[in-house]
Amino acid sequence: MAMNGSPDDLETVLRRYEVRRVHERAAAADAAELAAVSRRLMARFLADHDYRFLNLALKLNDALRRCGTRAETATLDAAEAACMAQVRRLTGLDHAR
Amino acid sequence: MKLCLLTSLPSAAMQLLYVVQTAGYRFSDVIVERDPGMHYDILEQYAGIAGFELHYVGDPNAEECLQLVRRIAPDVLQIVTGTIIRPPLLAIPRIGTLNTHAGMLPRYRGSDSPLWAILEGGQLGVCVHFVQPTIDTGAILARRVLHVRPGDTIASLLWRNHHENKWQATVEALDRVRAGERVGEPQAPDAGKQYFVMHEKLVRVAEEILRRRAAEPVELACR
Repeated sequence: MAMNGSPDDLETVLRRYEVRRVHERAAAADAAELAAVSRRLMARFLADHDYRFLNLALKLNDALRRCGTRAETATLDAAEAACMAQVRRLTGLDHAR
Repeated sequence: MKLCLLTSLPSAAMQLLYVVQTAGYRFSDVIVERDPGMHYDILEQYAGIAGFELHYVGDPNAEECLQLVRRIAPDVLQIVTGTIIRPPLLAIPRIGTLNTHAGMLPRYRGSDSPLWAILEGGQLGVCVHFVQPTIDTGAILARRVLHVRPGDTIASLLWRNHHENKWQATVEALDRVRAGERVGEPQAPDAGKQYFVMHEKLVRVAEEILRRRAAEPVELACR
């Protein structure tokens, strides 16, 4: 899926991927593209704290763990862990901000 | 006021029918989106007791259902279904089509609204709104807030929101329509966000927030 890089473009991606449940139909051939989208979604979450973007990234990461390469999932695992740590800080479960 | 119910969920439909009946409302017709995996015995028995006509359809947006609803000619069509209702059906009821959304609008549109509200520290509750082609964006007729109590879990909150709020708010909306309300409180299209099914990792965070609240009972902040 081509993306132009604008913030609203990710909102469009979010809706399109969620409505079409792309994560449920992901195949190995899609792994590189989905990993790129997931990284953008997690970066967006870290920037504006909109949980919906992380939510989709978590779904894509699960799909990538099923069909992606070890190198792709390793970098995503680290990014996801950073996001989940941020979730805990934002929700007050971990106090250090 | 002639009321018709369109549902894909027989148990939820039973609850709605019972609650509105105790408030003095009677649905003349109930249209069920038939699912081969579901049983409708209790609803069929209740049709005999409560005196409504029971109809079965496949796709509620198909011509078969449109013709049926035109024949029924309801003033209000209440929907209890996950199916997105298309404009041709929405155009038939004289007053409008109502949906009872398990979340506070306009902020929480779409799926899993209570879970998102817990995660974000927002308000929980239900809203009854006129249905528009776009999801959960129609004018609001009634809303009820659900207050989180110490010891609440996701399950208890969902249960209370469904059984203590949802159909009671529907009655309040019907009261307003019966009193002449035809417009409701408009929602600004950009006032809220559409949410989707929450990933289990975020659900676990929401559960932990509630457990923490049980240990430290303070009100969830509404951002």
